[in-house]
Amino acid sequence: MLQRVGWFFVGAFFLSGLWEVLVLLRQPVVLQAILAGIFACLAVAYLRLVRSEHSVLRRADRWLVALPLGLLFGWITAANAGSINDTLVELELLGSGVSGALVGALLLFAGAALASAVISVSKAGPLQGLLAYAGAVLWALVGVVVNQYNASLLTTGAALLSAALVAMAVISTLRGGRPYIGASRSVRPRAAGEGG
Amino acid sequence: MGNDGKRDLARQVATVLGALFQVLAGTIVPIGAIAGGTLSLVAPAD
Repeated sequence: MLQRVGWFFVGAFFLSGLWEVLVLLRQPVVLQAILAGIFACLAVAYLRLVRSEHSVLRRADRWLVALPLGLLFGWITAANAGSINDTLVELELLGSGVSGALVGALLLFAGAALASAVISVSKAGPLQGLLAYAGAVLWALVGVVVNQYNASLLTTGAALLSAALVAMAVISTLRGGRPYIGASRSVRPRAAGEGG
Repeated sequence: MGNDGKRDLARQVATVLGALFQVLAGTIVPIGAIAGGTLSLVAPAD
């Protein structure tokens, strides 16, 4: 499993370290590009993970690869959505008033829609990855609510609605078809619970 | 060691170096000051 996703982890690690160092330069476009690069690395790794044959996923892969990968991918999904708004404001392409808050709200919704799509795709992968991903996105949205509660009702409301959208995607995915948990639970009886 | 083995060893070494870089980068940057001095919601962890 690590041979399938390992190099993308390497890319994400190096870019994350680079991002931490280059934050000092305060170059929003460069920093946004690095965040997008981390997102791309983790998206490829995550998709390769969920599309893996269930038989190659051992317990260690599910807990030590899928779980941290989902967590990191969830964080970078939310970070990109938040950071694009900051980049536009820093480049003075966006004001910090109502128009800025509106665009920020739209970006949060776009991030939530992307996260919901990832969660839907995760149905084919290990449950650990799905829950870690969704948990990280929800945690980030809670962070936005806490940070913006006194500053912007619009952003707070958008974050709450986005969190609801992500939560519904999780529930829908879990009810629609159980993700892969382990070898003994990998086969979902087709007839179970279905009329006929 | 075959080519596959060498590639796998290279991947393992790169993974360890990348993880160390990510963790240690936070120690050479005054992250607390950055996080306190920016309005951005996205900042490195302190």
